[in-house]
This record gives sequence, C-alpha cells and structure tokens, in this order.
Amino acid sequence: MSVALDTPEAIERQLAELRGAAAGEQAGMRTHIVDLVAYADDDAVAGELATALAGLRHSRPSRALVACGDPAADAVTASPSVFCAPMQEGGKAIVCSELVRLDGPASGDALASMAASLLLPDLPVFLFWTAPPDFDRPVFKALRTLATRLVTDSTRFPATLDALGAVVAQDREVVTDLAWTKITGWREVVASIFDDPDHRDALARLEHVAIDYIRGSDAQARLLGSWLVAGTGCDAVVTTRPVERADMRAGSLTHVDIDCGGRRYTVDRPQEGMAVIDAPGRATRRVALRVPPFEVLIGEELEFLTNDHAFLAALAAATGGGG
Amino acid sequence: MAANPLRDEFRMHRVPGSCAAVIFGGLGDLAGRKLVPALYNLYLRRLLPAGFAMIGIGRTDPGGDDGYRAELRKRCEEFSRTPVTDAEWDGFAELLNWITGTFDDPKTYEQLTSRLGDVESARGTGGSVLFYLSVPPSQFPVIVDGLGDAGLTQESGESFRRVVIEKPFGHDLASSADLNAEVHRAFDERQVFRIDHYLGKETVQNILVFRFANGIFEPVWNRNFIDHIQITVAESIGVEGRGRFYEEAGALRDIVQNHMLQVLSFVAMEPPASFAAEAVRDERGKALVSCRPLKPSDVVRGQYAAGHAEGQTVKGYRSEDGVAPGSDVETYIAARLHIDNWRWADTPFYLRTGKRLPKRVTEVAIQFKRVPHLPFSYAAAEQLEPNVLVLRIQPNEGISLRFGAKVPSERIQIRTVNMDFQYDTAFAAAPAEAYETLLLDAMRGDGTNFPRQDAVEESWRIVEPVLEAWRSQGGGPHPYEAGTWGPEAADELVARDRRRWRRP
Repeated sequence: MSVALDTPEAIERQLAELRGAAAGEQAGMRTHIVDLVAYADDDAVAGELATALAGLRHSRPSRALVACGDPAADAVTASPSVFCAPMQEGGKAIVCSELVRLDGPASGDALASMAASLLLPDLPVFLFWTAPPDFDRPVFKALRTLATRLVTDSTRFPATLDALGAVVAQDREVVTDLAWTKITGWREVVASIFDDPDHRDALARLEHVAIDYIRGSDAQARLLGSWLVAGTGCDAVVTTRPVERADMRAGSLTHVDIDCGGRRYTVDRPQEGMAVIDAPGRATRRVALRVPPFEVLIGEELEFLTNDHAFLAALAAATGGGG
Repeated sequence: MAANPLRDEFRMHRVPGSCAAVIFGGLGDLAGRKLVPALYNLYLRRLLPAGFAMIGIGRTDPGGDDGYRAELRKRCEEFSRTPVTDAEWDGFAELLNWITGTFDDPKTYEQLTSRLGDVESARGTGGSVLFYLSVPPSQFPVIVDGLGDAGLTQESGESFRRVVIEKPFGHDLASSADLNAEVHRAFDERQVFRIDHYLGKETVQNILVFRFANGIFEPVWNRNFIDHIQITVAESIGVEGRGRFYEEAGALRDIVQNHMLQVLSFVAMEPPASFAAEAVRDERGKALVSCRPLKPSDVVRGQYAAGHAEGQTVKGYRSEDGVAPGSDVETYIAARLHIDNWRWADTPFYLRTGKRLPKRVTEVAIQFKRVPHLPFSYAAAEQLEPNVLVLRIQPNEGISLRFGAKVPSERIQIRTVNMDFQYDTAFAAAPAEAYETLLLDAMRGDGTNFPRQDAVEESWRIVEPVLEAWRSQGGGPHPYEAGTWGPEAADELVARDRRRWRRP
C-alpha cells in the first residue's frame, strides 16, 4: 500500500499509519542500525531496487529510501511503504522496516534534501548509486554528502569502475562495487588452488591471467585479474575476452586461465553453480561456485562500514589508480 | 612456507582453508540433528572452502555413498534451519562420503586413509582433516588410538589434523584427567577442540562484545556496583527419552559443570589483551581458577515430581523411561558460588538450572546495588526495584535493562520499566546454529570458543566437593512439582542472603 506525499511530516505520519495498519499494537520498529539511500535514473530500475530491498531478509535497513530522478519532474513526491513480519517464527510480536520511494528532479539537490530530512538520526548511511557514473552531477554530489559509504555496480555500467577508481584516488572515499561482491565465490575457488603447498610458490611467478566473461560488462573480469595481480605483487598481464552465452548474466565470468611461469591453472564454469578446476599434477575436480542473487549481494555489502582494502588494491590495479 | 597471499583479506578469512571433515558416528543422532545440517547451512552461506569433503563412518551400512546421502537429506529436511532444495542439495551431496566399519578395527582406518587420499585428489582437500568424535566418550580412546596407530594424527607442512570431542569430558576430576591423557596419546592439546555448544551461541559470544566494546558497562562491572548475579538455565522439558543417559549425569554434571561455569567465565573474566584464542582462554581460565569450590551447604538439588508443564499433565522423573524408580539423580540445582578476586569478592553468583521448570530460558541477570540515598518519598518510590541488566541467551536473544522512570502524572511516582533490545529486531537474522559457528571455528583453527583442558579440569575442581559429599553422605534431592521454579530449599538458599530469585 502506498500514497504519494510531498512533505517529511506527511511521509512520517503516513509511515506510522501504515505500521499500525499492518501490525497493530504489536508492531515494533526494527532497531536502527543503518540507513540506505538508493538512486536510479529510471522508473524500472527504481522498481527493481524497491523490490530487491523489500526482499532483503537479514540486512534490511530500518529505513530505505529509493530515489528516482526524473528530468521532467519539478518537485519531490514520496510513496512510503512498510514491511512487517513476525520477529520470530511463531511469535506474536511484529517488526517493521520502511521503504520510501522518492520521485523528483534528476538534477539539483531537491531529492537529496528530502532524503536528508527522512534519514534516521546518527546512523551510517549507504548510498547505492545505480545510475551512470557521472560523479560530477549535482544530484550525486548532494546525495554523496549524506553517505558514509558508496556502493556502485559496475556490472550495470562498466565505465563505473574507472570513474570509481578516480574518485578513490582523489578523495579516499569509502566505496565498494557489487561487481566485486559478485566475484567472492570466484576468488575463493582461485585461492583454494594455491592453498595446496605444492602450488603456492607458483603464484610468485604469475605472468598472465586470461579471463572470459559474458559480453556486456568486463568489470568482474578486470577486478578478478587485478586482484590476482595485486595479491601476488607480480607484474602480470591481464587479458579479458567477451563471450556469448545465453545461460548466464551479462558480465558473469566463465573461464579463468592462470599462467605462472609456464604452469597453467584453469577454472572453468560450464554452468551456473559449479566450476571445474584443473591444476598441474592434480586430478580435475568439480567445486560449487554460486553467485548469490542481487538482494543477498547488497545485504552482504551493508555489513561493512569501512573500506575493503583488497577491493581498493584490485580497483587501483584495474584502473591504474594509486589505491 | 609463506601463507597463501590470496587469502590475506577479511572476506576470505571467513572461509576456512581446504580440508576434509570426518565424522565418527556419521549416522548418529548428533550427526543427523546438528552436524550435517550445520555443514549444509555453511554450504548455503558459502562458508565451506572450495576444497572440502565430509566422510561419515559407522557400523551400519546405509547403502554406500548414495544411501548415506539419501539418509542425510532426510535428516536435513527435518532439522536444517534452512529448507533443503534440490539445486542446493545436489551440490552439497557430492561432498558426502561413507565408510562402513567398526572403530576398533584397523581396517576401518586403512579405509579411511585411502578415502582421505581419494577426496584430497578429487576435491582438493589439501591434506587437512578435522576428526569429529560424535560417539559416546567410552569410544574416544579406541578411536584416538586407531587414528594414532594409522598415522592419521600426524600433521605435515601446513596441513592440520584436529579432533573435536563432545562433552561429557569425564564424570569427575580424575576421570577428566584420564580422558585428557588418553586423547593426548595421539593429539597435542592445540589439536584438541572440546565442544560446549553453549559457547557457540551468538549471545554468549556477545557477552564479550557487550562488555569490552562498550565504554559504559565495564566501569560498573564489579563488586562496587553489582549486588549479585543470577545465571539461569531452565528447561520446560523433562528428560525426553534420555533417562538412561541422565541417570549417569544429573544436572550438576550435565549443565552446571560445563555450560553454566563456562558462561560464568565470560561474565566474570578480566579484559583480555587481545581477542586471540589463547588470550581469551587464559582470562576465562583465570576466572575459573578464582572460583571457590562449591560448599555442599551452598547447593540445593531437586528432582521433579509429577505436575503440570505448559498446560500438560506430566509424570515425575522417577516414572520416566530408563530411570530407576528410586533414583536420587538430581534434575535441578541451585547454588551459590563465590569468586575470590578483587573484582568479585563478596559478590555472590547464584546458579540455577532444572528440567520441567515453567519455561525454557537461559539468561544472565546482573543485579546492581540500590542507590545510596533516595531523595523521593517512600510512596513515590515504593515500586522501584534495583537496576537489573539481563543478557538473554535463549530464547528471544537480547539484552534488557530495568530502571526506574517517572509515571506521567502531576506528582512524582516511580515505576520500574524495562528497556529491551532484541537481536532479531536489529539484525533480522536467525542466529546461526551454535554448531555452524563451532565447526567453522574448528576448521579455521580458532579455539576461542572451545574449553581448554585446564578450564575443564578447573570446572571439575569447583563441583568436586559437592560430588564427594553426595557420594559419602548420601541423602537425596528435594522433590519439586513439575512446572514450578524448583524446591523451596532453593528459595531459602538465596533468602539466607536476603535476596530472591528473579522470575525470568
């Protein structure tokens, strides 16, 4: 249930009514631990964000604001909604979290000013930026001043990776990228190859990393290759190659070939959910390799308030920044 | 050899290095209810290493690997906190392997050696193995010797060999020392992980965070401000078919000696220099060393009689299956314990545990001293109770603080109110099962949440005078009606100190 509103007081009043209607006297607000502001440039993406945030079970912020910029809009309107669920299975007490969709001008700081008035006090604020990486836009700058951590998704707009690298190199911002979160499973599989002491030394001779990815975004591929380069400290070459596959999402990795002074290690992902590892002198083995859905990825990022230094090192290596 | 540089970051530290887990008693009750569902949930949470395999061992062949996987799927469908889906199960099931054999047969260990080689090759487990003895303690020496004789406890290079054992760790101080000596025949102490599942609970671990990550509590966490502390572990159920086991254990051995004293050590310990496993275990151990052995006169034992629990008529302990009709085994303990150190001198810790109590609850209640002078009229403050900080361990995990507040009116009137924090309103996550946390810790080699040999033996030292008095002086437990908070003698125990039990 949602109603369009245009003042913070009216929005707060509406949220209180919605909470009461949804859960009655048993309603309690989720203990406040984090605020989230998500920005999208089009209605469909904003709708996807709202759905995903509502689906966050474990890390849902007490209050999420989904701001949607519209070049034709001249004022901000809000559509509040609440999500209530029993606190414990079979329990009577209900806990609610809130989501406010804000539609307003894509330029200027009207959206940011409304967001600022609706943030719960004194909490870390995550800004999830899903629009193209034009970080000089006033709406970005205004929203950025509210946030303690910036989350981007360079799988959506590949240019984001380089823009993010420039932001970090210049401003030492606290940032992350969902493209990085998406390759956690890949990194675990690659790292596991070199848990084997017989292969550990080979890492020091890393020369070349070749990565195939589904056409659409090379961000995950670049980050994985750069992570290997940064992690080993080797002056290795990373090459990426787009491939066409209908069974995986754009930007997903399909194959990694690691050349360590002539010793070749490969990880192939023939299908979603599993990978095949080949290492010299070892039998071929299959392992699980799963990339979680979007709401799990964003939920995972909401757990971290500070910089992930492995990400910064990989980002710097990928974009030529200072890290 | 240098560590794997690709794992030098915090996200990767969550996942252990490659290893295999071997469960002796792989089809037993604990494995089916707790261990395998815990591994399945770790798999779902992407916290198992890419190079991982599990091998179950037991006497009865479930039908090879396939039969074992089918059987475990049924158990997970019943006991996993997360639903089992075909897609996820299929990936997990590939990690499961079975060996049929008896624990005293050297051929079992030959098979195990061979199978570990197979999974190392096929799954990349890297030669590291976690042995889990999910069997009665009487089997520990046989298995430990079997593993030792087969050379399976020897570590080489970076690979580890660890053993996890379940309580009870002996039935008194002497037998505990014997058990440790038996385990140490094949494993060094650093390779031994003793599971007390209470220590895997988020809320127990949060006691340390609560105390040492917040500036406002530790300054008042001592005898100057705290009047006394009550630790309650109450169960509403009876022995539930475990009568035969319970006849050998009783509440003192089953709960007080391990769970309660371990929880007490978290509450009473000094701040560790770091959160490194040995630093934390050293401080917990020191807290136990400072505990005065329990005086038999400071302990009340009870046994539930027939009554009503949670609306049902229930039978008494002596009528339970597997229980001797004249049994004197205690199902309830209330005790007063003193810690002889600067922080806690003259601040009693009251411990209370029992079966067939009115509700299931585990909590630590810290009752503060009253203010030295109340500037309000007696009438205004008549309903004011002392401040109490409650750390709720289960259920409704959380923290609450009781304090006085003015009743809204034209005059001063004070009422006691509770300020509540509930875990699931903050994090909205069902806390991980304790076994998930502890299995992960054991695979990572983090012994923080596992009692060390010295702590186990200190715990026995504390309860030993009571066991000795019961052995030598006889007597029996006070009966209490099922569904009540225990025998009157327990109330008298605290009333002697002009205190009373809180109603959790």
